[in-house]
Amino acid sequence: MELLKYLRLQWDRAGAVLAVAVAALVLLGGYLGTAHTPYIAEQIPYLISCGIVGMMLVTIAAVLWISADLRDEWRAMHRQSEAIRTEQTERRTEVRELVRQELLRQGAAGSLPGPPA
Amino acid sequence: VTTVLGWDRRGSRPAAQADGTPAAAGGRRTVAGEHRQPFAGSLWRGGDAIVPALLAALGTTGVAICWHGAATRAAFRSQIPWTLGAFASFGVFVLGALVWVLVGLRRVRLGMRRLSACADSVFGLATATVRPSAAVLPAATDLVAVDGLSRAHRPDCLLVRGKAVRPITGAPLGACAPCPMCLS
Repeated sequence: MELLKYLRLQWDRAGAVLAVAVAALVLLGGYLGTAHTPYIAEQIPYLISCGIVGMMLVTIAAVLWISADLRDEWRAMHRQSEAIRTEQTERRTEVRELVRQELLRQGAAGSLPGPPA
Repeated sequence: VTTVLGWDRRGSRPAAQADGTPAAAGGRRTVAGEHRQPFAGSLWRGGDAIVPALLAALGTTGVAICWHGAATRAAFRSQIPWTLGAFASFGVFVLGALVWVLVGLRRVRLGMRRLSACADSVFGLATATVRPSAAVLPAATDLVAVDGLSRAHRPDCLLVRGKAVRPITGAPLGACAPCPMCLS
């Protein structure tokens, strides 16, 4: 259950690991295919179908893993952004209150600023 | 409206200012010191996948075609162009992957820059160095200097405590430089 939850949350990293595993199998298949024939003309299709496809799978794995890292970074920035936003609101309220108190102190209550936009 | 919380759909620049006028060039914040939500939603938008997907599909199709071309030839020499074509197609596929990653990297870099700017605008006051203007500097007659030295200090400056001082005459600081501790 925990594993399924982890896989659902980390689907991109799980996909990367799966792609690497499949790539290893494909490359192994290509090696076996080329090793069983002495003719270069029969080895070339294995080079293309297994060698290049294996490299494509490794590329997909790399992209998935880097994408996961970037998404993590993005989420962290979102959290920081929200924290800054909250801080900004609090400071704005604080400054408004200080201005209000200062105006009240100066007896200029009639020219108080309006409510926050 | 293509804006998402004050930012355009690509998240690379603000779409419009608070009063509805278009945002200034260079991707400045919508309102000075105003912090929006540029990081809401996914890092990649729908349109970002088009070019990488096209390149990946092109590369995959090229590899498949070249494999078929090489597999149906019996002579090695006639397979060479198909092999080269397969590697070229693989290059196209990798290019698509690079485009995808670069779009994400660029957006994260821009986001970090904007986050830093927002943090500066919010927390800048707490870390700003307050320098008194010339208008609030004390009159030169209120300043002192240590005998034999050429720095002007406030009389209560720690650097002149317990030392023989002389009042500064002349304006504004006499011939003295301001003390970096009490007059900066």
